[in-house]
Amino acid sequence: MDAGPHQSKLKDLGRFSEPALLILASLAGGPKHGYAIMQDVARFHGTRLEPGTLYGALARLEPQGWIAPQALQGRRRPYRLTKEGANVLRSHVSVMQSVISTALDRLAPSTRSSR
Amino acid sequence: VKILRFYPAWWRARYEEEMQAVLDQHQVTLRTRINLLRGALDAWLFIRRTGMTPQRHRGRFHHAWVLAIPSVFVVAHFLVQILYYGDDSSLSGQVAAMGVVAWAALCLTTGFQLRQVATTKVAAAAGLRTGLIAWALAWVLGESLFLLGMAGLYQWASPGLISPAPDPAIALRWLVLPYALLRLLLTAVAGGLLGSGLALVGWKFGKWVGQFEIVMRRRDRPSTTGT
Repeated sequence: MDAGPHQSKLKDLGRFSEPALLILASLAGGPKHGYAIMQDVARFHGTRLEPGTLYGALARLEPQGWIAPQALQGRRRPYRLTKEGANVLRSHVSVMQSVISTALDRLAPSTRSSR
Repeated sequence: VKILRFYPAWWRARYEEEMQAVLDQHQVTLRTRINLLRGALDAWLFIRRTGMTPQRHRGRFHHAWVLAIPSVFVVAHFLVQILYYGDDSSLSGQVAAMGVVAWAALCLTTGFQLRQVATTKVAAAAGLRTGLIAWALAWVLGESLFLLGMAGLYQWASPGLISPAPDPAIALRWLVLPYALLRLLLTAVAGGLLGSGLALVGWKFGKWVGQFEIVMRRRDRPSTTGT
């Protein structure tokens, strides 16, 4: 899979690219409304997303077609990850995984030599 | 949180309700308020900078000219009256009825378009706006054509249709009468209220249709959320 276009699209979101990634990761676990996303992100990442940032990112993810709003449940609206959104997340995560494994591999000898 | 008022109207129509629900559960600190202010500024710059609008933001027709569709039937109705004056043709009434149907369809569509994103209040407000503008526009056009008729403008086409003695002063006097403005106001309010009701019907129908959309999404879900 070519990660390039997805990578650049996510970066196009500017300061919202990181919150957007966290939201995509959260929605990969199933549809969630705004507050549930904030709680989930705080749980798995330790970041406390503020509502202004959360909705700034949601408003960018929606027109990209990466997430889709569902019917209102009271005053809350759940969002779900779309197929395109899952592809973006998958490609981004695979790049991150490659960076992590490369970094770990390269750090391992230096850790050994520093002993 | 009053800061939400700083967001642009299109943003508030789309996100205010759910943002408010989030804020009700969220501990609002100074950081939250600053973040919301920054978000409001960002929302104002959003379209200009990115060229993106939320695909689901609807309830306002992308082209304002659709609000003039009922007015087209008003003109057609008037033309038919002139061309077929004296005939027993029911065409004139049919055209007028089509205008009302077009107006009702506009209001219903307004509500239907909001099925995914709006609350009852937002759908009703959108219907009120659409119904009021479209109805008032058609009414003003119809009255203007009528006044022009009173001023004798159509005598060349159908001498029997209007007063044989053209008197522009009649039209002028009638136009400035407060009664005319009151009629316009009442007509617009009635159109708005009826439009609001129709939009709610369209919105409710959209919700019902949405149930089928949810079923279709459930079919899609295993492949979309699986990691």
